[in-house]
Amino acid sequence: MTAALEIRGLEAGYRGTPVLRGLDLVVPDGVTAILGPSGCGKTTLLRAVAGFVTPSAGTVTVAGSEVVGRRTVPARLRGLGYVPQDGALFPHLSVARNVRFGLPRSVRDADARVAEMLELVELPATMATRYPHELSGGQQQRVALARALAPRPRVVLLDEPFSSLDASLREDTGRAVVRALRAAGAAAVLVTHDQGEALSLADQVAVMLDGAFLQVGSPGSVYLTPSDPRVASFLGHASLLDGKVADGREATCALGVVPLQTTTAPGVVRLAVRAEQLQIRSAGADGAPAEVVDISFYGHDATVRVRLDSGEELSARTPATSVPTAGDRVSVRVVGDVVAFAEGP
Amino acid sequence: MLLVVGVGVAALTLVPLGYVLWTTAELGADEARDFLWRPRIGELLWNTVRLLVAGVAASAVLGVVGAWVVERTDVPGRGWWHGLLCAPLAVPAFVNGYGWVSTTHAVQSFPGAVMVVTLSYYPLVYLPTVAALRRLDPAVEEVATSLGRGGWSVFARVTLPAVSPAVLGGALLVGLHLLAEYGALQLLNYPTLTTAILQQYATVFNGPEATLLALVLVSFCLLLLGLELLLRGHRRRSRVGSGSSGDPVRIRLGRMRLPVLAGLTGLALWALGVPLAALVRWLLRGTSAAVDLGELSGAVVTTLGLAVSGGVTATALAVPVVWLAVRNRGLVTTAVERSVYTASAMPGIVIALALVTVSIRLVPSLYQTVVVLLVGYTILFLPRAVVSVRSTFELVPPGLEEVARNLGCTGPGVARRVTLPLVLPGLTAATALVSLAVATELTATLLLAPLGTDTLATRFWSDASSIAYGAAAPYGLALIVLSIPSTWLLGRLSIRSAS
Amino acid sequence: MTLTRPALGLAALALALPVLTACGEDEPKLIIYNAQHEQLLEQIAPAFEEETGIDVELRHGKDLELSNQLVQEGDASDADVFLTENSPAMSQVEQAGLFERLPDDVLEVIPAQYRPRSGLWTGFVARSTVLVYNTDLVEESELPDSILELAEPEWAGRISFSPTGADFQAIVAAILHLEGEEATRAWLEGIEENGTVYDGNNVVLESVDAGESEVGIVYHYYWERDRVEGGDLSDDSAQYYFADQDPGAFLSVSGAGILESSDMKDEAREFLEFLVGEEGQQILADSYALEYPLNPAVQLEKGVKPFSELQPPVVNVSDLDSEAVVDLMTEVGFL
Repeated sequence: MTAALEIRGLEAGYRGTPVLRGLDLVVPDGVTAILGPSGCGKTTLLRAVAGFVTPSAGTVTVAGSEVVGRRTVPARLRGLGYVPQDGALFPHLSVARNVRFGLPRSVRDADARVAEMLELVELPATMATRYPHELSGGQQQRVALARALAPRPRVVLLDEPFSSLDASLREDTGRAVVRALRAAGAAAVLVTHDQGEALSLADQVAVMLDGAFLQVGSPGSVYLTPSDPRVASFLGHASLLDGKVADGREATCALGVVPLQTTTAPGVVRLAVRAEQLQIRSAGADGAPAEVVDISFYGHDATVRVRLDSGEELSARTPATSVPTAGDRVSVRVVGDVVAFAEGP
Repeated sequence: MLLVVGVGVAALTLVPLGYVLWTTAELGADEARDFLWRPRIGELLWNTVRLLVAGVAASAVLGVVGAWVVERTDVPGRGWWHGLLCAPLAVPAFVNGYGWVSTTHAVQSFPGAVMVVTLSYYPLVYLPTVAALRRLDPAVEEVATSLGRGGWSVFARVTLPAVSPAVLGGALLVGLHLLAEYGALQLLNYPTLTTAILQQYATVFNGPEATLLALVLVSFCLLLLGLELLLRGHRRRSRVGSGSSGDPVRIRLGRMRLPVLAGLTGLALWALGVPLAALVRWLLRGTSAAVDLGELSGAVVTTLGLAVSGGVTATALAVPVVWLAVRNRGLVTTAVERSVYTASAMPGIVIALALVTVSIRLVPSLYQTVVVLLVGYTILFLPRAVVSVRSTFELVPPGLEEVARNLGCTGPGVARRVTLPLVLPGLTAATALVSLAVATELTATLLLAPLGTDTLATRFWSDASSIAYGAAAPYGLALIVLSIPSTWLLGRLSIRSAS
Repeated sequence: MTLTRPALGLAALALALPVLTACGEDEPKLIIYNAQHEQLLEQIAPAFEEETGIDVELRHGKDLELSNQLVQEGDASDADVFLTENSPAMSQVEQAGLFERLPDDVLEVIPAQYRPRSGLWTGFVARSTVLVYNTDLVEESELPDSILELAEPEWAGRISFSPTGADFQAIVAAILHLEGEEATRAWLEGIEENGTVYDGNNVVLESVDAGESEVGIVYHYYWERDRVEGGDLSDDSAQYYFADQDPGAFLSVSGAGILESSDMKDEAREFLEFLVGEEGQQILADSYALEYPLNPAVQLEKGVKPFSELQPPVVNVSDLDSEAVVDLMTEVGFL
């Protein structure tokens, strides 16, 4: 079976500045998240796929047919669903007319399709007659998805769809959207800068930086086995430490000797220690001595920033029940295996 | 105290409407019917209505197409075209009419009149449409495209409905201007209600006949306002959510590029080239053109003096009205603000007629003085002043003043150290806008200026209307120069209000 | 936004004040409500000021605009002297009882038919009705003997005139006086049917010269002045004077009078004396106005048809009724 969306060697730029530097991505069924900080080019990628930005090189294939390559298919003929930030509902049309906007005139059971779509995105049918300004932000996003799904696209592109929602709404809306996408059988490309969103909603995560993918894989693999220190620091709030590998299974660093996740060639390495791998213990206990710099308390847990006596600063996550205070002397220890990256030549 | 001033201002702005209704009532129904039920009135109505319909429609089409080309296509030199498409605002309609009539008599016809007024007034649609297109979240149009709509369908089904309040508002302005237009139509020999009122005035002064015509004219204006309210409806079309107005995807003109450029060039030549060329031509060769610099500078000084005083008066009176409406919301204060807006439906000629009569009957000592003229300008342009002053005062949320009080400021101290510095730029801009409008005002000035007071507009008019084209040219050029700053300001605002 | 300085607004206001207050100066001036051509008065007023040392302030307007204004203002009027282009406006102010009787030495200078029997005002210049015609489109021999013939069907679509101006209304007043109400109404209806309406005699002249209409009803000086100025509007046209006391040969009188409410009556009398005296009349004759001086001692030269050759109908200015004319023209639909 052909992939829902396939991108090969895609390049694009604005006024001579390259924004996308030769991207390759295969989007199978399910949700693929493009994760990256703002300005990394992920929105440009989405717009290039949708047909609003003209790439300078590369191909894009949707369900087996090429839309960018030897010839460029206009945006309106690509058969892609598109959900921009804020949903961009047509403010002058009711919910029902928004949803049926993309249906050809010849569709007879448009009303039924509208009802079906509203049900799919878990909105009550009574909402059909409302106008966009009468809806909450989360409802607007669901309508926007229903509108994108109504013409039965193979792929739906979502551009930071939840970024303007409250934290509490974000999760519910995100789950509902993914359920609807699965029920509709559409693959999705979700552009986001929120790693929690990417990891929790997607089947595949593509981490992007400066117009290139650093790593593409399942949420678990990109989180647990980052292929690049930048992926590690972006995804797991990992602290990076210099270290030295002698025998391939262990490394020596400011935290002492730590076990490595994979066998690594001897030499100088960069170690990525995720926040939850660091354990804060009372001073004098086993571990590297350090001082607490500051604390962010979240209720269920807290992030503690410590400065090792050797000078490095690290972030650790501790349970809410054992939070130190700033200025405390503590000792820090690593739990579990650490990811090591060989230093570039 | 403030309320008294506000109510006083509101009462002043209601004088014209009150006068028209009162005089009509005084006249008696039979007499009114005898005067109005004549073929001549039918002809005037027919002329007015068809000019209104055709002029508004043509302005709307030209304004929307122009805005769309500039904002949504990849036409080269968009910044320049924006400037050129706004620029006709700097040529007062009667100067434009002069330019055309002194070039060809073919414009002394219905199509000619429609063409000239359209060329003068389409920017009133163009400007708000450009601003609305800028504000419009491009994502809305992109979604429509991704749903399989072609360029035309996206424009008709998404873009146009989204900007329609702006287009409608602009069309309403064009309509009100067309109803009030005197100079251009008089030169084009196209009689309408307004030109007929002035003729009545020249023949029998402010007789009941002129007032009856004024009543008909005011009814038209109110009808237009009502129609616009009805069409706009209650539905909100503003954007939902904050959205980023990024750069929209521009339509590639491709092979259409040359025709589009030719069209834009033609429009610029028609709307600007013809009047400017006529002015320059007459300036160079006019037989009656011996430019009397003394008279010209005298007219400039008078015009500037009136303009600044008018601007300051209107802005000063707008402040209490706005203050009441923004800070003391209530039935009375809202009514005060609304009553000011009704004056925007009053053509200059009606305001002038009302003030002539009211001042002669009630305060004869003021008749034929600058005071009445300034009152006229104030009523005429107060709506504009109120709009700009209001947007300024909304920049000063009450919170700021509360914070200042909390930091130990006294009432006057708050005004001096917080409120005033924040609103002064806006007040100055409002003054400037009204001043420039006053500087090019013709109709009310003709009736209200004390005898012997020559402004640029009235000097231009007295020469242009007696075919002394050469003598009129320097005054016409001076009027254009005076109009450039406000046009520039409006052009800039239309672009900036978006970002 | 560059207009951020508070000082700017205040400075502008300060700038404006002197301009506005300049209107009220101390020294009393002779205030003339002038409906005659501005340029004409701007030549004679300085000469008068120089000769007498009396300052003059001119306020320009149109005949009926100013006459109506005077009537509305009544005794409160600032005006000392009233000058018009045509006599009906003078009659209106006279009927309102606002004029001061003129001294005999002013009246006697002007022949009796050019001033009202009441002696409340006097004519000072006159203009002759003419038919201006496009020389490419019409032969002089085709032109009618009487202005009344222009209402005949054969002139359909060929004539133009400016019915909203006081000039034309004076001509109508003469026809009304000479031919009666029925004939005048019929004539008005006829030319309304036949003609194109313009606003302003210059526009009529231009339309004839440009060939848009074949003939136009105007006064003689429009065409003559344009000749002097360079002929833009008169190079393809010529004037035709009606003869034999035809109503179309009507001579319209420009009037001058002193307001009873004036507080400068002596100065006003001096002005009128100057206006009708030989010196003033010569200035008028030499000016670009090209109107006929009414003091028999002064003749209009400059190639205009001599006054003595005109054959106007006998109309006393007292008999022209502007109100009836306006009613009649409203009825026919010109106003």
